[in-house]
Amino acid sequence: MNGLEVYLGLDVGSVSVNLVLLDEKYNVLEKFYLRTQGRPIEVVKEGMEMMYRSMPAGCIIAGVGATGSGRELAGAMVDADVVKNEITAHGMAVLQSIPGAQTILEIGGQDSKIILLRNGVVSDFAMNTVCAAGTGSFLDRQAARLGIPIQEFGALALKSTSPVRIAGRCAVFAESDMIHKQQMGCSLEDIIKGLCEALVRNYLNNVGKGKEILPDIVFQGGVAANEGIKRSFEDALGQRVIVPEHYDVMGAIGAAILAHKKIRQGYTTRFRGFDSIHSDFTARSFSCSGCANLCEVVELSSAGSVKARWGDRCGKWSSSAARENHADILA
Amino acid sequence: MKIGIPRALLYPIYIPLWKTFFEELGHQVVLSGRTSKGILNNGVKTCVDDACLPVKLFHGHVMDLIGKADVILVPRLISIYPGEFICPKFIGLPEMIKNSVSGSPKLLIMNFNARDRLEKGYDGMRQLGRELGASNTNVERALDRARARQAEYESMLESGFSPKSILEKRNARQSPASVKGRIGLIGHPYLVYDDYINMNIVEKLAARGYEAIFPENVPLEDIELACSRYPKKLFWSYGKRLLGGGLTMLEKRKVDGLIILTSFGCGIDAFIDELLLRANQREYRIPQTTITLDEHTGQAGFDTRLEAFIDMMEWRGRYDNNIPAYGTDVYTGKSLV
Repeated sequence: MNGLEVYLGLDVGSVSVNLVLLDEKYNVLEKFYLRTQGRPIEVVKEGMEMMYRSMPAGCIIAGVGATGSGRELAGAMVDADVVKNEITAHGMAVLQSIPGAQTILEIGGQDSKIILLRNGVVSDFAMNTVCAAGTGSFLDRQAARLGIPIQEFGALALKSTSPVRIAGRCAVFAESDMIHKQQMGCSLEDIIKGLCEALVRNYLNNVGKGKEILPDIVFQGGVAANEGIKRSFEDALGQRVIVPEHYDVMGAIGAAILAHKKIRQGYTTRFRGFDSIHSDFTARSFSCSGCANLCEVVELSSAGSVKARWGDRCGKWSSSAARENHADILA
Repeated sequence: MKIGIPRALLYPIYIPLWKTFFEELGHQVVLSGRTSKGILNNGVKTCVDDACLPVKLFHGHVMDLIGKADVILVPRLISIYPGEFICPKFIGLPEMIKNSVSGSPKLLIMNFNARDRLEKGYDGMRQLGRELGASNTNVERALDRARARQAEYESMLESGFSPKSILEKRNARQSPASVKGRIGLIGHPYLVYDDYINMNIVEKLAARGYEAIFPENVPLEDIELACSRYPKKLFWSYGKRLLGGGLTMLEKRKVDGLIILTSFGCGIDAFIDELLLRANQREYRIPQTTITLDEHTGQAGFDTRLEAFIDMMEWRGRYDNNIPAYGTDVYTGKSLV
């Protein structure tokens, strides 16, 4: 069987589960952006099913990479070859697809990050610390509260003529400020645009603090779909901001690229085909009573046998050290 | 008498002094258990909600000692070096404990105020020794021995050992099997030496081949020298140690990266981290990151940041081609002699 070798990338985040299929030249053959809805296992299965059905004929999955906050889970479910953090994955995706990029602004469901690229490598990064005010899940919530589909949020912001000022430091403050401005009778467009500006201000002050933001600037992650935020970034930075074609699945693209790099070094993929995904995955968590820490251990089983465990501090349950190999794939 | 010492706040720094002092006076010292979920929960539940995590943990450790000790030591550290202060929360610690911890445990409050002269700082210990019924001669003898033990401990720290390796008699430094590099772990002692709250960072670094070095490994003279670049005196003792320690590590090319651990809401760290970052960006350009700790027990966010930082360090290191961005080139070929 001599098919086209392709690479699968999964990014399991708090708000979305993304899957991509890349060829060896890193062209995106297929992509899916699905809502996590707090059910990562089901949605990963659903995504794999969709990928299987729509995969071009003759393709062979030669490697699989997983990233995102649910990367352990996804990696265990699909037997991924590479399980990597989101910073490295996003950095890799941009380095391979957008030559000349020096800054990545990434806003996802629950975290936001800035990544600086210099001389072909990630040279600095920062992530939000304790505040998720500027992230997708907050925007989602506000859209729902205002009764506007999230897809129309950005377009509405662009219609604003005189944006109102919204407190951006904290999601709770922002929400109460928005409500007060609504009660005062400000227009929805102006409030939404004000919110976009507040989020950008908060991002640049908090995540982007002290970072040298040089062009080309790439804006990605789910929130990059929001035209209003993009425009606010451009206004605040005084520069053009590029939203890549596959902005919403860049993490998954990076994971697939990392998988390709690992396979190229002579590893054989651990991926066992799409059949295994149909098995009945169950996750349960239990409190280990081995010591006073009472770690919450999560156990993923399929077809009655344990696939992986994680969440313990001492390594008694997880043997993640054995699974996680830090192969030199960044070269 | 059984004197309980909470394994919290500056315990990892002063335990030889405190423990020796009380033992020389004929008392038995018991320590609270290592920080655990139970201690964290108790601390968070008991303490006023706007205190920082380390102060909450201190509350938890005090509660852990109830029933295990006759009295519980609550140090009131006001100033540990002449002309300097430490965080005001240390000054109010006894009052916080008295008002928040129920079950009225008996507290032993020990003042330490070296603001005028270092020697005067020990007066609080002398007074406490006498209150415990010891004669002046015995107090002085106990204090001498305690200070000798403390001096010995501090010189071991300066020679590169970590408190953990000394206090827990680990024969080796906590180093990885093969060392790829060194990372400066900058943070207050109650964060960098508490494996529970720092998510086992030292072991996680070791698993990736990196050895951690700490601010306490930097001699005080170096810290003073490093901080002399600033026009004003840094009057917070720990702020100075963190900043001066980090600067010395950068200046002496001792580290491949700096990780700053800070507890959410720490006022001292707010500007110390910033000063260190600016100096690093201006002069050394060595990878640096800050990880904020609070009462999380989920490790995913922490691990993501740590993993991404090490990836970045290695990625940058490879580009630098063994010519670090900070200037000196490193010869990695065969030995020439």
